[in-house]
Amino acid sequence: MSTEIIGAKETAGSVSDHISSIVLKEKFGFKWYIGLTLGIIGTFTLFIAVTYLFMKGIGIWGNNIPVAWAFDITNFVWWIGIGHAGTFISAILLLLRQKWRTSINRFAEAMTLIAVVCAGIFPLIHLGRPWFFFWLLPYPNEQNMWPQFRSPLMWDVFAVSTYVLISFLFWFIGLIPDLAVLRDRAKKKPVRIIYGILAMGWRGSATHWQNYERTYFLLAALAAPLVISVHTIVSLDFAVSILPGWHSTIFPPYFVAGAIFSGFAMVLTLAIPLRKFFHLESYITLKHLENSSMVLLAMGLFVAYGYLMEMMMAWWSGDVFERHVAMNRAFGPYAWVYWCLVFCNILSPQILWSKSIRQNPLVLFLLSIVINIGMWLERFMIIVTSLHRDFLASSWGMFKPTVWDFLTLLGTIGLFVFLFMVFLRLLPMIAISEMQKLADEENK
Amino acid sequence: MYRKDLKTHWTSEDPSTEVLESLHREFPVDASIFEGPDSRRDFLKLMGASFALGGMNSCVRSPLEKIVSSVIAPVSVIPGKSIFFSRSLSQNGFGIGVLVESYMNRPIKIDGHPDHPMSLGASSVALQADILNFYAQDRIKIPLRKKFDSSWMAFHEDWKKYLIKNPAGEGLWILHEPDYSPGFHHMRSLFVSKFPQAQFISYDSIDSKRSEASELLFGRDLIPFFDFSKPKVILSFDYDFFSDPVSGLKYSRDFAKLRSKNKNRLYSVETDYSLTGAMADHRLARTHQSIQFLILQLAFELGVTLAHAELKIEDKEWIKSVAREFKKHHGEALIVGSEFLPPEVQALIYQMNEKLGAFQDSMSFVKSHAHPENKKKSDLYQALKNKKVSGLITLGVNPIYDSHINISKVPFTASLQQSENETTEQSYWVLPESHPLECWSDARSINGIITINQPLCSEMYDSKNTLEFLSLILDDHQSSHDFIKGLWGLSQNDWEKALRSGQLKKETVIEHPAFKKVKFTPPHTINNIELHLKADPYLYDGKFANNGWLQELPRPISKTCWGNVALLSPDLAKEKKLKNNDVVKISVDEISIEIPVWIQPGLADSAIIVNLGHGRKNQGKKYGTNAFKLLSEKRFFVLSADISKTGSVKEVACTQLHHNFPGTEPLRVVDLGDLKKVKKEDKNLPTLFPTAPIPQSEKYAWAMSIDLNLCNGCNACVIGCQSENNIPIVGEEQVKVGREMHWIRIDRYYEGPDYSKVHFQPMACVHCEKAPCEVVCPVGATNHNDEGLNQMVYNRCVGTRYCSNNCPYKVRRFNFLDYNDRYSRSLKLRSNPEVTVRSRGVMEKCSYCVQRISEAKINADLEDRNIRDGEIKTACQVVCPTQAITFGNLLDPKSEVSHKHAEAHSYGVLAELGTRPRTEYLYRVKNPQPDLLS
Amino acid sequence: MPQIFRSSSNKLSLFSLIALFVTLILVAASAYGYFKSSYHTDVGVIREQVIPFSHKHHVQGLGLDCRFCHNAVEKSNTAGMPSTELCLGCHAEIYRDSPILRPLHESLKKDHPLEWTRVHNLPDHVYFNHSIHIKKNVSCETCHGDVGSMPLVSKQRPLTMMWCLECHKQASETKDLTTCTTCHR
Repeated sequence: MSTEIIGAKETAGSVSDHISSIVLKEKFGFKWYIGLTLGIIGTFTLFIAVTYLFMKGIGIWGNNIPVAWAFDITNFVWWIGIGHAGTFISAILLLLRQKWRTSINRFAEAMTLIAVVCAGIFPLIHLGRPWFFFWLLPYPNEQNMWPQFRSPLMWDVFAVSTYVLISFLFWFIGLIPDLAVLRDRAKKKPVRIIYGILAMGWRGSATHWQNYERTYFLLAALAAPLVISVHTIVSLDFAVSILPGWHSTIFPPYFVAGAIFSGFAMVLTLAIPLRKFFHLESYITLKHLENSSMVLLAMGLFVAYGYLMEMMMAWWSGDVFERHVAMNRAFGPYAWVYWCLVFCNILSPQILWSKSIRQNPLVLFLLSIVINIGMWLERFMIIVTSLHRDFLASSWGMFKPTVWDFLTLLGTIGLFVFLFMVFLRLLPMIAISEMQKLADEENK
Repeated sequence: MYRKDLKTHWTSEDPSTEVLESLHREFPVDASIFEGPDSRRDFLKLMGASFALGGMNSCVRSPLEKIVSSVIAPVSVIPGKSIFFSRSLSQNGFGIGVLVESYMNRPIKIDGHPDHPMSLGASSVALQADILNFYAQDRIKIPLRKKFDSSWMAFHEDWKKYLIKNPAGEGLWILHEPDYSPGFHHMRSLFVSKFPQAQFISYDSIDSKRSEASELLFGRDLIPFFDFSKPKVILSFDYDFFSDPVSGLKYSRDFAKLRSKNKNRLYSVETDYSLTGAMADHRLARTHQSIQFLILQLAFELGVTLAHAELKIEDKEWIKSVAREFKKHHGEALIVGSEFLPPEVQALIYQMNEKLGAFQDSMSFVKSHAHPENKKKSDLYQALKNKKVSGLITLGVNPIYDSHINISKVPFTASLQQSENETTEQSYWVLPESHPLECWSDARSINGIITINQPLCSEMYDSKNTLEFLSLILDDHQSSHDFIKGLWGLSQNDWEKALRSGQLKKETVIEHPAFKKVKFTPPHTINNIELHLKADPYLYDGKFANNGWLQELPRPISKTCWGNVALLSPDLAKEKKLKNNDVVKISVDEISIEIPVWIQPGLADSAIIVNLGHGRKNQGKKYGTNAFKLLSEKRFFVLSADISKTGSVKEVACTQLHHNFPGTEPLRVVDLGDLKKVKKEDKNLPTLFPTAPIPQSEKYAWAMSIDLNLCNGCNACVIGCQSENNIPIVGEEQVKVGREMHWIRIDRYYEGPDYSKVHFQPMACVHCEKAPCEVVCPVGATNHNDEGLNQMVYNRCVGTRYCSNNCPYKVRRFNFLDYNDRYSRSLKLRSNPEVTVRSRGVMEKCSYCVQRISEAKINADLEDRNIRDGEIKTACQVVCPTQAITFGNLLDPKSEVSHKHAEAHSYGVLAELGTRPRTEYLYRVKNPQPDLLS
Repeated sequence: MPQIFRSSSNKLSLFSLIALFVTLILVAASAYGYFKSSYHTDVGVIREQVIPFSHKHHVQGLGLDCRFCHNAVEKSNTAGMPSTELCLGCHAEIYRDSPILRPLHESLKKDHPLEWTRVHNLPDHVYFNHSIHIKKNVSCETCHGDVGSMPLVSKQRPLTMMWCLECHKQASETKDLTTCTTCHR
């Protein structure tokens, strides 16, 4: 059982029946409505938080001098990190011919897009004068001014926007055949028309399939390097600076690993409830969970290595400031953050060495939550504990988050839930066409 | 000379009126500062205002603006150019020469007068900040009778009624601030001649024992006056001469003369931690009474008395070796003591100085000019008890706050005040007092220089100054101008000359009187905890509680602001199990106050220091506790007190906590002996930061040098910068979360095992040649200019705050909220028109006063020459009493700053990071006495 | 099951794609146009003034020098506006009863300054200094156009940062006039 990546009884027909019916059926379970309501509440919270922020200014948060970045950038990096698994799964695993990706790639990609949207909010609202955000874009203007291209923040702008664009295209191309299926199966005319427009006249002819395959692989090839590049650039925001605790060459690989780590954690956080509520056990099998948790374990070890190296480098550099930051992280006023994340990101994943746990959805679910928290704490540690005590003891400070800091974070989570619920309702959460192919191959 | 070209000094007699009226129109009628629901917003009203479009980008269409031309062009005012008034401002009754900048008839900055011996161009925090009182929002605007709007006319009627009952001023008491000006003296005599029964009190809420000591010795009131440029060895017994309100500027400058050459040695024995103590080469922290024993012992060692004290062995040794050195330096030694020591003890100190031959040049005496017939406070208390007071007139003083008297029974009470206070609340008549800058007066400096003070503009409100007020109730309604002009009766020529130079004449006031010996009686003993009540270094006795700059200015050593604290030593704290922010109950027989604790290393054990002047009722009411409560009518400022923990906690606003960071040395100290051994550092360490993308100028490279050996931590530069650069205050809550905006901060570092030694380091943007902040700004809002300035362009900044994160010195300041008050337009008038007022969401920092550089450049170009060395002085440099700060052009090998940078002991803070800072520091040099080192 | 789309809809979709790109280009172009136009720069826009003062008459007609009225231009950052007193120097006699000049006499009577409407208005974070430009032989016309021939003054140059930089980039003897602090503090 545990070795199969699709239920034995499933056929091309049953697949499309089951999945498309989820989208097309009139009524949706009340569980979904609960999710939606929570999402909407969260989204409103975000709306209020941001409105007040724009009225008053960054001062409503706990940020100060020296800690000029705190929750804002922490959240940004956290969401971007989460937004990695999707493309990783769909693009890289596709290129690696990993069949088991098929059933999880669709909602993973949706997750990616939504996460990146949440992430994208922060670089915008953390500006002191957000209404001038467009000064970060190169465009001809009266002041004859250009952005300052040496700044990593500029690289961010390009890296993230490219990533959004490619991931969206990739996701949408993948959707086209399924949209066609929905178009054909929908009962109501308006629904058929909408899906019809989105399907852009897909008839499933041989030429269509040929073009489709070519484009899809091409985009996969394009997207794959982006998975690496985006978080590398994000890590450069820190690595490029002079600040001990940021200025570190290990950051790019370490951040990418961390990103995939948190991404897969989020995939599990979503996949496990999904397969339960929508009875997808035969599509998202234990095999999927097991493979994902193996990736988790591997990335977890990678991240652990990263922490180790930071400490090691601090000691080895012999630099008084580097050493101080290392010590301050482990034993300073924010030590609890450090030890929490050591528990969340290093210790707790070790349980995945046992096969029985790798196949225990409940434990995996809880673990994935723990890891998500851990990864958020990691970014908090990197940003805040490096800033609050740097070179001159005279200007050391502390960071105390305000209620608005938390509301903004919760708000984006709400937005995430909301958009994801909408996605579940309107689009097939599993790639029908690909599953059909899989069904044909697996259950001959 | 630097922008203060004497030709431009204002000389016309009455500043042109029409500009003033346009200025009148600009004034809003609005509420007082600290009142109102949203206090943050409100006390932001204390200063700062923004141009309507400050920080807007040019894609926004600006609304139509009006140009207001004048009706009759004022003489000698060139639109857009500042003019400078030579005048003086009174500190504790004595004048100090100042130069007040007026822009289009708006006073905008006060600096010391370079030619006046009591300031020599430097200025204290108090002088600088006075400009803010001028524009204060809660100034009384019209006469009030029982809090209701009234008029001077009506007051005069009332006064006449009062006189019918008391034609000779029977039972009339007039309390005025100390004022030793000839004008006031004359007015007083006029008044007494008409109302012989009237009683005057020169009311100083913090009255020292100085006059008693002088009476004891000379039989008359003389004030000791020192010259610190002479003595090679100086010993101060609890006297902080650096912060002396009257002579501190001169003393600092004099002291710096020898200190800059490391030619003097300073000993300090004190209870509190003062600036003098921080500057001292040897410092003892002792309680008030053990200090007296030490003095006695020293007197014995110097052979002034036969009696000697029982001392701890190390104290004995200390005094011995000090005495040895003082004997060695006969004629060039000086001992100074606190004015709050018992008279006999002060007398003893004078005698020691005589023995040491200090009287020849380094110590002299000046007339106090206090009127002999002045009554004492105690007389008033008596009279009030016996219901002998028919009328009480308070001129600028606030007795209800600082001495608990009850005037409700007094039939006629009038109070002439600039803004509402505890006394006006209880006065029947509340009358608006003019700010010194808006009316005529004269002044006498402590060393006898007479200044005639002309207004910078006519009164903004329906106010009068003391002279006009007394003249009014004398019923001869003279304007202050006519009175002063009449008093001196000068020819127009001399008159204008006096106005221009700010110095009419110099009286000789210095004396070297003979005195009679007095026998020393051992001090009364306090066997409990010793409570010291001291004037707040900035708010003084609460006079300036309404001044936001002063409220937010960190106290030099403790770095606390917005309210007072009970300072105590770590040992005492340990003994009482107290930590910072614990609220304690300090009680002096029955009376008690509650106040948060702040632990201060280097204090005398079993002593508590509490600053007076806080806890005002209507001004800055939220801030601090009124410690005047604890004073009995005897008003002795060192008391025996009990202290107990209340259990509650109040977070104290503090700008620099006490952290230990071994292995780093941002501030470098060296003993005089090892100064020669200091190696010159390589200033061109390899660096990864790119060079500035634009070609560097061959003409100018601006740089600064700060001599840590001269900085006494007086904070004048902080306020000087604040007023020059329109820096907003942010308020208590914002300081607590670490968002103070001061561009220049004075870092305080402790030295030694018990952190008992303090050093100061002024820290502002050091203008790195390879600035980390520049490469990370995504919009290029901070970048390098061709003269090495790290320039910050507010109107380009979008506020990512990345530059601050990447600044190793953390000298960048961010407008987290809309700190600048756009709404109270009176404060717009104060702000410096040459500096953009920053809107919220914008990063800002020290600019090396780029506006002054630009001005100098334009002036030089207009005259087809290069900028001369010393032509540009930054705001912080101008005010510095010890001239610790030098600014100039590195490409000019002869410039002062080039010489200083060339010194072996000139170093850049954190230069090891490869930032190549343009601001460099000269080592702090200690000059310890060899015997005391072991 | 009937087809919901006619085959023509393929063309429609293709067209809509093209239309999208075209609109984007149009929007960009028109935005560019707007910011160049006098709607934004106010070039050539005549402002309502308290007195319809004719520079043409005073300069070309009577041959007054600019500095006769704007007398601070060589000494100060601002050129200065003539005081009521100065105007009345001549107009106490000439055209004294002309209704146009009533505000002028009012101003003196009421001791209330004349309020002119700004024609050349730089943002407040721009620190422009007249005296140094005059000193460096930048004529009034360079920025203000030929005011002497205007009956009613209007702005002749956009006075945008880009426009200022055109000169500042090629300021002859010094290269340094494009650093931010030249104009912004």
